[in-house]
Amino acid sequence: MNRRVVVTGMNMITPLGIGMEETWQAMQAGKSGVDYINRFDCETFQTRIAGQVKNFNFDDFLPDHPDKDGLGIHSKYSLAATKLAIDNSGLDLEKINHRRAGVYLGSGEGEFDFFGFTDCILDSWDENQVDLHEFFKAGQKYLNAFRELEHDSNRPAAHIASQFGFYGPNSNCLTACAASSQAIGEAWSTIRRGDAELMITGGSHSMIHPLGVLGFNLLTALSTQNDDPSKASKPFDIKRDGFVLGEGSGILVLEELEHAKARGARIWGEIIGYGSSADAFRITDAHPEGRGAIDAIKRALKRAGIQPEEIDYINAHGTSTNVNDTVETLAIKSVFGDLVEKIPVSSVKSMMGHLIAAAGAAELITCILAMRDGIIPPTINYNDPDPQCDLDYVPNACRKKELNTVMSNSFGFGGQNVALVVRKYIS
Amino acid sequence: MTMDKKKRIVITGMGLVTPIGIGKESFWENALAGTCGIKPLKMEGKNGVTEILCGQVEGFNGRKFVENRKSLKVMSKDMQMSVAAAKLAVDDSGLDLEAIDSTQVGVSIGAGMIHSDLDELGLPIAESCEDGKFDINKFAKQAKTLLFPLWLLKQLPNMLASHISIINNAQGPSNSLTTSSSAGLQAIGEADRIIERDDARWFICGGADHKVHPLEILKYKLLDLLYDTSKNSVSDVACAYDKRRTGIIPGEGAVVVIIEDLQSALDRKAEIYGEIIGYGSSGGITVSDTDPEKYSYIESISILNALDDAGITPDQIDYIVGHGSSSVVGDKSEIMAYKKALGDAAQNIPITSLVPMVGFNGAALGGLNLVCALMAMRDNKLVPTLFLEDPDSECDLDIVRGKYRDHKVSIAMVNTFDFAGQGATMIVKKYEG
Repeated sequence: MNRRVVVTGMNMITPLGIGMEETWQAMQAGKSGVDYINRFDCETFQTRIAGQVKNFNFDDFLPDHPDKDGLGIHSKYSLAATKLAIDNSGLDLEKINHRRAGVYLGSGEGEFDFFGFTDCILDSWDENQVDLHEFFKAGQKYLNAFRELEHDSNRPAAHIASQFGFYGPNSNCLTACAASSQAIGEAWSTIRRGDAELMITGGSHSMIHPLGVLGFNLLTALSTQNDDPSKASKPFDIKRDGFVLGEGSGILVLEELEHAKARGARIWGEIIGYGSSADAFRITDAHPEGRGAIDAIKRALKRAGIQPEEIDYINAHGTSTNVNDTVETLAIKSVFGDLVEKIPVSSVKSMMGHLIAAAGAAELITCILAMRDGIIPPTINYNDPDPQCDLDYVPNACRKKELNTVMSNSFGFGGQNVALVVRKYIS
Repeated sequence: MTMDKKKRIVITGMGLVTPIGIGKESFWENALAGTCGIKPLKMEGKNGVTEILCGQVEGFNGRKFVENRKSLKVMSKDMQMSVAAAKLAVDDSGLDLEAIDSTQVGVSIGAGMIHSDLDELGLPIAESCEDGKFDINKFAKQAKTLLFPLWLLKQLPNMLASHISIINNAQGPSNSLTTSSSAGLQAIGEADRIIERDDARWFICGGADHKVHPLEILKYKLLDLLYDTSKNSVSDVACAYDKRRTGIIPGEGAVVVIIEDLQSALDRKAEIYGEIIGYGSSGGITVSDTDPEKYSYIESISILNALDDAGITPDQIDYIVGHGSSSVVGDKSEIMAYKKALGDAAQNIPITSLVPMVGFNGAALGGLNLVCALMAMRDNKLVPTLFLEDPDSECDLDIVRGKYRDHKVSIAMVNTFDFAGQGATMIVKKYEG
């Protein structure tokens, strides 16, 4: 028999706030967390805006962490979010069974030491190529051991396990923008099968660094509406021209239902469905009819054992790129048919930007808060409708509605798609 | 512990791109013969050459495996090798991908850190100097003209799975694991679970990595984990579990397997290489941990979880293909973990490390170890741990050394324990109907 899995702790660090309540307040007010990038000099970059996490101080969370000086930004955000999530889970870490408590994250890579790298290149460049003998010497001079290691995407999952004693099943996936949703789905499956009782899951990521911005600019994936940063991310609006980078971490504590009940835990919600699929189409474009997205959504509904009409709200992937928003709209219409008239769809990326690997987790936490308060977060900056995007996007202002069952979509660059279904917990 | 093993899942295809052979028979022949694929990587320059011993895949031509030349251009070497290994695995399995439901074919691939080509990214940097100083604003302009638009796609770890999905029209569940040297085995373990829960019937799974990159080598060097580069004889440094080991020898490669539910394999009369009966993982090692006690404790959890899943006792294990990265702390803690998890039975189980033959190949290691275990079951022959002469007194288990050993294998355990994160264990059994 498959076990029921509930969320007993969660929190997030986002461009809209340190912690989920601050983030959620900002979303209800329709605020944007997007502004000019001040991490590095980006005057000549095509995109100069992003949703940066503000007022983050790692010492506020784990002042005694042994590696705190060398941790990558992904490790810092995720450790902080995990600390907050563990706090609100009420878990007594002394009492957990280390073998049966695991971690599955969908974390992105840490920040590449770009300026260290440029020093190495400048020391070793010889006409049209790198002099490898010199490069190897320069590397030992300019690069830092710990920083190189913290570039790896599996570091946050290892740090979290070590810090909180969750030594059981441990993994990290990096399916681009679908990563943390996929991690939640696999963590959910791990408990459901009986391989663990507790899983810390979610993701952490920042690509607000020179090569991140440059790489996405080369792909023409980012918005270049630099003049009014807070208005640049406009999912489903006809004037959308790309996504806006965000950063941060969303972390959830998943727990086997009986285990949660036995310790009298507060239950935030129950995860009931997860679907994963591949477009198998092109690495650069989504399938034009949304083949993979449709399949992921259908799989999640089937796994949840529910009918489409039971979905009260869809938290869209809604990146604000031309193709995603059109194809996602098509996919939702294909699965839900006429029901779309009654199902609001919104994208919180309009406010916090795109947290890339961490996006899905922050958005699922948002869905659970939306259910708690009966409030749907808006899609802000929605002014000029696109005839190809004709759903109810909850434009510009949040809306009251009782929510019992909610879906969250995440579609990764390269064609990996995930849909999750979460429900209010009913005993 | 209560776990639900609902379905029998078997391995029916193997594809390998390794320093000692491309394709399973070529690899296996060389492995039994004790061939070493480690050679110096020459990093040349005007004023000298830095030579680092590495397990390099030589003579690999991506064009042989990728029909679409355009897509070859957006693939890093890891991606090319993974696509090649997937093709070899599919061919080996005899699976007719066009005749089956493509939404039931999943892809799960472990990937390592993918770095940019140094010359490619170096050019716009070199062209962005102002008075000998790097100017980032000049760089943004130079990069826009000098890098090609899809440059980023060559560094994304999910592209291995994406390319494999596209080439094989695999529309089922798709994942990309990035747990370093445990990523490959975890990708296969997760695929097993996905088939078990009926989300797919077939899986193309495994991993690829390219640690033979100056930045990866530098990382090991800076962390003081690279082998002692003052020694230049392979047999003096590639010595897992040996007293003389000094650290990691970077490697590269790709190993992909096809797994499917038993009924599917029987229906199509596929050759069955073995059955996955147990899988487990664990994690929590960080660099500030240097205590082998903690390492081995966490690694033992991975083994115990796999044993519980398989429902077997340690004395039923005939063979272990180990991590054996030749790292000073790593090998010692691995052996401690076997003793912790397997008790007295650990004394009687032969162990092999393939790293002295191929180098430390990160996300490719799990699949490689699995193939080694499956071939050992087929031929009842164990691959030697090359160059092992003087076993560390703390590595005092039965490490296979010298020539290959004849030994009957019905159940084998495969492990990968990354030094900075995650561990994975898989238990496979000979298929006997």
